[in-house]
Formats: sequence, structure tokens, C-alpha cells
Amino acid sequence: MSAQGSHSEGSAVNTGLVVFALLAVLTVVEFVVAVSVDWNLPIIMAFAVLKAGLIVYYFMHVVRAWVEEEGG
Amino acid sequence: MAVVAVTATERKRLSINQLGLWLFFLSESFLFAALATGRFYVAGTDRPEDLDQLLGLGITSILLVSSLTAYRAEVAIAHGDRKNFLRFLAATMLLGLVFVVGVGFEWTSAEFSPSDPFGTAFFSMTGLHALHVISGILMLGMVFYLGARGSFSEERHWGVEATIKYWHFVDVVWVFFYPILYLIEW
Repeated sequence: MSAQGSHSEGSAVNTGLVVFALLAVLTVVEFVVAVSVDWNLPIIMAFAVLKAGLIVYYFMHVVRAWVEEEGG
Repeated sequence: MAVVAVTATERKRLSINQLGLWLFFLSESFLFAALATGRFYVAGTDRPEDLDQLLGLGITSILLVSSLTAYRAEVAIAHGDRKNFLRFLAATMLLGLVFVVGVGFEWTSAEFSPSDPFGTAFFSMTGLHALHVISGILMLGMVFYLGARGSFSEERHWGVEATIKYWHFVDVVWVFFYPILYLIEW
């Protein structure tokens, strides 16, 4: 049923932790940029798109919606 | 645990379920995008100086952590680890509740009024989003109840997967709403 089933639990957990660390760093940098840079709209929205992309790809497994799963 | 093979028919149904869920996310995205656009229409890029930046960053961080715990719950059930599945699911619900309380605190302590241009955007965007968080908590609660009764397994846990995807979607919405309300300057 799940693509995660084909990987070890430890590997999947590590992926989650790395993605979370990236999201945390991006959030902090986004905040620092926002309070220190005027006219920040394009930069801030680029951060948002990047963070959303990470969540959609790694946490929501968007690719699975278009890939026929191989059982189990 | 006994391994129960998932049939071709079930796999096909799961593919259709996946597609339906993503179409639902797409339709919800239009709703949230309309609200985000409305923020610029009614209030431009202005934001009040007394907006509580630390609270905004705090609740954003809480929602991000809840995405990690939700992911861990999904990984756990996908590997038949029911104890961690329930533990991380409970943590996700708790973090969601803390987020809602944070939004509630922001609502009661905000210096701006809902009738101000910025207030109109702020209260409608955070209000609709918080409603989605609350519905996510309720769905996670149902999944927790069913999970505790042994309704999900390593092979069959679409209900878990769909609910956790919904939770991540709500997080993605906030990834855009947070900077649009709290951070942008133009």
C-alpha cells in the first residue's frame, strides 16, 4: 500500500528529520530576511515556495499520486 | 503480524483515492488563494507595526513540528509499529491544539480591528485556516480511535495516509499565509 513499506523505517525517519531540519533553517532565514530587508516580497515568497515544495514532495509524497504502486 | 496481500482491485481503488484527494487539495487551494489575493486587494502590502512577530514565528514553528510528528506517525504505521503510530498521532493533535490556542491568543490580543483593511484579511485568513486545523485535529482523533482499536495495519492504512496528507496540506497553506500576513514588506 505504501511506498514507505519498501524502505527501512530508519531510512524513512532520517529523511523526515533532514526535511524538517531544512524547513526549520528556511523558516529562521526567512524571518531574518523579513526583519532586515525592505522590499522583501519576492525573496519571502521564494522561501515559501521552496518550503511548500519540500512538504509536498517529501511529506505528502505527491509523486505517488501518479505512480502505479507495486502492491504491499 | 499476518501479511495480507493487497489485491489489484484494491490497488486500483487506492490510486483513484489518491487522485481524488489531490483534486480536493487543488479545489481547496483555489479557496485559500482567493483569500491570499484578497489580502493584497483590501490591505495592499501594509501590515501593522504592532503585529506580534514572535507569536507568529512561534505558532509557525509548532505547525512545522506537527508535520514532522504526523510524518513519523505515518512511517510508523507503514512499518507496523502501532505504539509509535499512536504516540506520534497524539503529539500531532496536541501540537495542533497549541497552534489553535496561539491563534486564539493572537485574536484576543491584536491591536487592530476586524473592520480595518488589514484586520479583515488577517481575521478571515487565520480564521479559515484555524477552522481547517480544528477539522484536522478531529480527523486525527478519529484515526487515533480507530488505530487504537486495531483498524489499521502495515498493509492497509489509507485512512491514516489521507488524514495525514490533509494535515500536511493545512501546513502548506500556513507556509504561504504566515509570510503574507506577518513578513512581507513592499
